[in-house]
Amino acid sequence: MLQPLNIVLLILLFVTALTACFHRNLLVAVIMLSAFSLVMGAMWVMLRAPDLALAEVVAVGVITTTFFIASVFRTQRREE
Amino acid sequence: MRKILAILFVSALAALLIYTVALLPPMGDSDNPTNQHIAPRYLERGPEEAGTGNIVAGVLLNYRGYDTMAEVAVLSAALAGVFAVLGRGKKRIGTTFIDGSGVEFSVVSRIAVILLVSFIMLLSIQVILQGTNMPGGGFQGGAAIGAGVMISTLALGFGRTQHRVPYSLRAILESTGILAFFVVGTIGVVSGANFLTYTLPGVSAQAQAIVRAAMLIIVEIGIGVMVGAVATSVFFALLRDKEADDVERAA
Amino acid sequence: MLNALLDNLNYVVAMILFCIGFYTVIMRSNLLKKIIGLTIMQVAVFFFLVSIGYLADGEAPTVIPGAPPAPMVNPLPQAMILTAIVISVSTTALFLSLALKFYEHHGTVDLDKAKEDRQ
Repeated sequence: MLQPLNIVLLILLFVTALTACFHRNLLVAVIMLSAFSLVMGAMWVMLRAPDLALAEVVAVGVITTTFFIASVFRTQRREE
Repeated sequence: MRKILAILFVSALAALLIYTVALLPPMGDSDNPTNQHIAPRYLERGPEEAGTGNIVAGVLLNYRGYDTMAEVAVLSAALAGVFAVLGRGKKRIGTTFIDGSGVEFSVVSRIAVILLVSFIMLLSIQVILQGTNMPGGGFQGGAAIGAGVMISTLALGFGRTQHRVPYSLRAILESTGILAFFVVGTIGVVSGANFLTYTLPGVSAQAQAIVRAAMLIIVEIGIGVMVGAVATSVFFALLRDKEADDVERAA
Repeated sequence: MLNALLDNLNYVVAMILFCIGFYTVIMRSNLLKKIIGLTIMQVAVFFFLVSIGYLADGEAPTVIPGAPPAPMVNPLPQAMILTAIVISVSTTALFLSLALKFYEHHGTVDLDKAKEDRQ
């Protein structure tokens, strides 16, 4: 689809995914993963899948992110 | 050197995938092969055959009910794996670094979270129960229950929250998902049809619709409660300090 | 060719996200970064599969009493990806617990550093 909202969401997907994968501070990476799931939730709504939007935001954006934050707090904060 | 090779390899993979994907029929076309065979049948006959307004929930629970049962089994297996690695935590109150860190929980966040968690639990109950007619369902509501417990742990302290959701309660709730499926499925077998057809033996044909709706809601509640309990248990296991009665692993 | 790419823009973005996640999994030595890369790969695949079932000007596959009948998008990939999201949460939980055990055992979550310390 070439609508402007779709293109903006795709660019945001790239930005959040690249930051989540390549930032050295693990806490920042995890928060960007949560933002990635939020943008993906908006993308699911554009693809007319409301069940998937709910499931993605609550499963990846809340639950997986909280598991990650618990793990980051128990191990180490920076990547090296 | 390794990095350059990796970038080259990933770029080649990306080019191959993009070339393949560009050859697919254009997105959203109404005579795509994917929209031809079984999808129109599910869309036309879904509400009357599966008994739900939400066709995705009907596909999940009725047309592909065995897949959902296996998904619940995978969730149980993952929970068993996490317990095997990190310990079950049967003590009544565990300890964690949040409670002992010396940082006080502020009054503002405590009161805000108490209010918020009440509304979160109410919303998740609504999402579970309306899952057959509106977007939502068992998994979404259950994960929201887990999220409510997680946020109350982070703001109210681990000891207080674990006191409310102790190991004995969680152990019962974690088994309700697969039990709901088995009970409903066996009732289907007893009434003469296949496993997991939502019928009851000896009920007239008009009342079958009500029976089917009730059984679907039982299954949804089972899934929701189970997912909430699993999320809570895994969160507590990841957060908790090692306890004395956890299984000792050889170093 | 460019027209085909612009028509299927969702598919192309899904494949590029998959490759970003794949690069993270193979090149970063930190275990938590690998798990983040795995999650991004999984979400990219879900995105691709549900985009295939999209119908232009279609509505969400929910029957609302009183609404005019409209063509609906394909509900089958949505149901399958819902199951896949649950499984992705389960595997992430298991992987994270293994990473915590690794940290307890070796004192670091970095695979290269653990290999150096062992020698």
